[in-house]
Amino acid sequence: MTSEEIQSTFRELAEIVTTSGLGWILSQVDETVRGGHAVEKPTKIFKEEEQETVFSFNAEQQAPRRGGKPTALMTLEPWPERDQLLFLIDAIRQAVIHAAAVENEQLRLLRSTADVEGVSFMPEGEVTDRGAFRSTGAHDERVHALARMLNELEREVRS
Amino acid sequence: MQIRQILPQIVNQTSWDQAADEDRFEGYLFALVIEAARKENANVRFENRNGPFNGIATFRTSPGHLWSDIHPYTHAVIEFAGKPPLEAHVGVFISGRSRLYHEADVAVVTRSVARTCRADRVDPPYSEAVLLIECKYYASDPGIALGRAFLGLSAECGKEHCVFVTNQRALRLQKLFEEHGREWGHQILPGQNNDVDRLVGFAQRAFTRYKAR
Repeated sequence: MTSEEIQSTFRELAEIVTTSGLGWILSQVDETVRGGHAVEKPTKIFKEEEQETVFSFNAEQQAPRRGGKPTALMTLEPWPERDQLLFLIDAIRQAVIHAAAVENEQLRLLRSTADVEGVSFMPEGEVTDRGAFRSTGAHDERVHALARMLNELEREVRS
Repeated sequence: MQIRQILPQIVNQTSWDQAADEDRFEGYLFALVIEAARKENANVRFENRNGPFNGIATFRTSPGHLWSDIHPYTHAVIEFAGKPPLEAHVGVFISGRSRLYHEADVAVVTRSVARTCRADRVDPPYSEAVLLIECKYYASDPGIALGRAFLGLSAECGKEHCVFVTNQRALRLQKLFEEHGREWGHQILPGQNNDVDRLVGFAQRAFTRYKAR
């Protein structure tokens, strides 16, 4: 994929996610992207001077540095656009496809202990932004179809 | 893009929001703890807060008091031969070293303490916990703030029986936890057998230590 294709695919996928009511996925991806990735940068630290001479930011790069091996200092670098798109694809996978697998596996494991018809999630307090819901297994063929589409898209991005 | 047609249909079908994904994950981790107990030859059964288990496992959507009888919340009773029984709960408050409240997404405590908590409407102390699990289900890489929060939680509740579990690889958090000697489980998802087995193994060791007491 070219850089333009990656950008337009990201925009389109982000718009689909948002209009589908999964805007929280985009927020999490955005947080990851904003966080950047930490890399070690071999750096030679400036020599200490006994007395501060006339200081100039412009001449800073030319100031004398300590001898010996460089020290590994950390810096944050931005994620490439390609990685940002891959994050979004994986985020949809985690939020829907893997979550469906988690629901099914939870039920399978619980059923090995007792006759479990379903799992009900209930808020303890009355005032809550987290509503109740019941899970009885996610066996929607469309989830598998979505998984195939995301895999295909990921292959295109990586090619 | 075909995803445009199919994604809204899936999302309309059931609850696919962040909170629901986290709730499912906590239920899954609870089930893995039960699996670990069974591997250690425990006899496990479910019980509800107000009586026998009725076929619907009811878990909290946000942490609450172990003694709460607002809903028939479900817990597991775990029995090892010759040892006092344990209970596993989802989403309960635990009091830490500083006597402040913390939230345990999955907690295993002794049954005697759990019964005391229900009878006297008090919350279990960290010192009576056998296993405490912090569950984080994230669509993207979990931020470093979650790791910092877990360092505090595990310092408060005993790092030897606390574990941070996420569905993500969370490489940054792995480094943080390794540096500070904390337990973690990453990529905990069905199909990630190695990672899941490692986590179940950690829970098994917690049960083994309990049996050896």
